[in-house]
Amino acid sequence: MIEVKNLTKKYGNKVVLNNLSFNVRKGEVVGFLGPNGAGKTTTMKMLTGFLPATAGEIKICGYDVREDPYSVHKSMGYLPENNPVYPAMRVTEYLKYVARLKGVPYRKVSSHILDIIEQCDLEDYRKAIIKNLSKGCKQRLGLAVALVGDPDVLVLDEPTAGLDPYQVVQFRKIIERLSEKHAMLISSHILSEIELISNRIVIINGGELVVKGNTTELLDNMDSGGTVYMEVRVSEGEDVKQELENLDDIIRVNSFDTFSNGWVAVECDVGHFDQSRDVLFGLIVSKKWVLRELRSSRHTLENLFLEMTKEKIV
Amino acid sequence: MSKTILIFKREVSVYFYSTLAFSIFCLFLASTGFLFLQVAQSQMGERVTLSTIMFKLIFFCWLPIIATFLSMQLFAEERKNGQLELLLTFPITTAQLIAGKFTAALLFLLLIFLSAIGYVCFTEVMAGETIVSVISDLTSGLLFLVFFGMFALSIGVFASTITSNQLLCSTITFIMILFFYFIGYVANLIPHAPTFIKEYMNFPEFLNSFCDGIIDSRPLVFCFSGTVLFLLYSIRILEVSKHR
Repeated sequence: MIEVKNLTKKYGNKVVLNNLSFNVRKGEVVGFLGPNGAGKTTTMKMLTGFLPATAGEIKICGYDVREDPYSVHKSMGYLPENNPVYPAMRVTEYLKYVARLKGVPYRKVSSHILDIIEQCDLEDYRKAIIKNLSKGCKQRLGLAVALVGDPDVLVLDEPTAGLDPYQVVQFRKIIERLSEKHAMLISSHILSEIELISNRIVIINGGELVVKGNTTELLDNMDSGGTVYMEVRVSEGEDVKQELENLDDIIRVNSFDTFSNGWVAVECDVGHFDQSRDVLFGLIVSKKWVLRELRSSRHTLENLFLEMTKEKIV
Repeated sequence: MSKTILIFKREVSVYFYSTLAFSIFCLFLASTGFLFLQVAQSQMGERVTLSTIMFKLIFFCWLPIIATFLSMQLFAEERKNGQLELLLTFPITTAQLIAGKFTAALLFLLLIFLSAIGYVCFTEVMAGETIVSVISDLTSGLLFLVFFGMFALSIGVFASTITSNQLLCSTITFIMILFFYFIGYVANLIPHAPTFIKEYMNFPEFLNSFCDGIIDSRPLVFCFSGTVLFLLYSIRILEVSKHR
């Protein structure tokens, strides 16, 4: 549905996007990640045909963006980063206007708009004036605009930016519902959301592709690591930190706090998630430390993102 | 065509939902009425018609201001808010977009002219003239104003596409419109100025002729060609600006 091959964008001599290639298939939600200034929005604007590529090829549903922008626009729904809407219009009025502009036949406009309003949970706001809507409703309206005309491809630029947790969950549910019928490319800084909704991710940094692939596989292959937190009581004079650092499975000790009565709290990164927990527990038993808390978490998309983009950020 | 009409309808509704547009309307009618009364009283006994007074009042006082006001919110604001970006990702052409917005602004301008001409009609009819003779007196002058208004608006559209700053847009529009007001005068003062400027661009002179009922095709052709040219430039600029 979305095919991007060797996409390059230059402003004068400055290369903002270099040789980027990826694709999105039908029924797939692809998370498009990168730090600020990585080139995400530029890529999305090029996908919509709003910006031209310096080199490379973009095809949306088989149509070349440069050669057939009209067909591309018919096949694509786009939610820009700042979600521009006409504040003085009413929700239904605005959606009808967009539907007519997108070429929805006059007789089908009303039923089509009702469908979209239902899909985006906007039933209670049909007659509301847009400027009176909350940020979450405005974002859902932006999504509704993207859905008008029933496009096969949806490109959503930071759709959950500025939403409260409830609105984020609501938005995620809508995306999940829509994901079966569309090919979706979503950029976001809320990595936990992307982890939950995307099948695959594409991470770019400094205009270059850093990593792409299946989200679960990437996380599994990353280093199988995670973070372990434990609270133990140790005898006086014992150096817990040193003991931990002597273990091969411990990558680094992130935090170390001491409390009264010999209690210490340690958080450390481990290399092999399952094995490391066994090793740590073995250490606790062998040293006869009193354990009151031991918890662990696998690496998340956030870890992957930070790992993959740290070189350029530093 | 249907998409142009859609954009036209939305733009017209924006004018009539906007309090600013109504304020301009009221201010225009109140000040034009007052000035019309003052000038008509001061010209009493002179060989000048009421329609000439009104047309000159509109042409010299209001047309540049209203054309500037209307054009500054055509594209500059939408560009700034990002609405233009979204519109241009819909399956519509830049030409449809510009045509819809331009015709809506032109309709609003025409309504303003007609509302002011209502003063002349009312006064003439009250003085015993028949409505048919009043309308026939007004037709040629109104024709000139519509063509020049169309030209001034196209300048505004052009300025609106080159900048997202409304103040800069209005300044460019106003200066360009004033340029076309005075270039004819200036050309007449310069001995070897190009003849086509004197013949085609002496708009204040043309206004006098049209007010006297003489329909000269030269300014109409010039304004029409100029409008088409500025609109084509605007389309091109909008398409190129996407590619920056």
